[in-house]
Amino acid sequence: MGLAKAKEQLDDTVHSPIRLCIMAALASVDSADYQTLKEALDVSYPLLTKHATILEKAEYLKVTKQFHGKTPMTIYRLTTKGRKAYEIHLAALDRIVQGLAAT
Amino acid sequence: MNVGRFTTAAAQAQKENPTGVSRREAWTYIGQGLLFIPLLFINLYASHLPEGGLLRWGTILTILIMAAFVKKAAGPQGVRPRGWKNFQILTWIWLIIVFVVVGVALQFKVDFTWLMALVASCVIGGTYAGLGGWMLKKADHGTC
Repeated sequence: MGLAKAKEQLDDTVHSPIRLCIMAALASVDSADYQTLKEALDVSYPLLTKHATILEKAEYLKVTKQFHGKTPMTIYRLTTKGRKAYEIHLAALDRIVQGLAAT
Repeated sequence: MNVGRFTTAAAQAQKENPTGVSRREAWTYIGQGLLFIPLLFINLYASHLPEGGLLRWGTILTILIMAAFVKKAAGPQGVRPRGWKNFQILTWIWLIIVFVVVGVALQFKVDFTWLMALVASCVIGGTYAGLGGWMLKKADHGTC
C-alpha cells in the first residue's frame, strides 16, 4: 500500500482526537459506561456526547441506556463496522508513519 | 492490511486486562454460582429427603429470588472486558442445556442418586461461578 492509498484510507470520522480516543478505549474492551469514558478521556459531558453521537450516526458505536436502580447508565460498545473502521484507520496510520521508506 | 506499531499495540490492548472491571460483579457471579450448588443438590435429591416436596419448592423459590436480586447486588457495571458478551452467551446456552436435561430427567421420574444430583448441581453452579472467576481474573488491575 502506497502513501496515497493510505491517505485515502484515513477515516475522517475516526481521525478526530477525541473520537480516536473513544474508539481506542472501546476497542480494548467489550463495553464501557459513560462515566468511565469521561474520566478516562478527561472531557466534559457535552463534548463526549457530541463525539459519541457522531460515531453513533456513522454506525461505529452502539449506545444502550439502562437503569441500575434509579441511576441511569449509558453503555457504549463498538459495532463490528466500528471495529473494522478502527483497524483500517490504524493500518493506514501505520503505513503513513513509514513515510517513503517502504514505498 | 499493513501491520505496524499502531495495529500491534491495538491488538495487544485487547488481550490485556482493562481497568474498571467490576470486582463486585465478578464476586456476585461467583457467590451466586456457589450458592446454587447446595440449593440445586437439595432440589434434585429432594425425593429422598423428608418433606421433599416442600424442600423442592423452597429451593426453587430461593434460586428465583437470588436471580432477581443478583443484578442489584452486582452494582453498576462500568467496564466489561473483551469477550464478556460471548462468554455470557455461552454460559447461558450451557445452563439452558443442563436445565433442559435435568428437567426432562425429572419429568420422566428419573431417580437422582446423590452422585447424580451432586454432579448436576456442581455443573450448573460451577458454570455460573466460572463466569465470575473469569471476570475476576480480568479485573486484576481494576480498582472497583
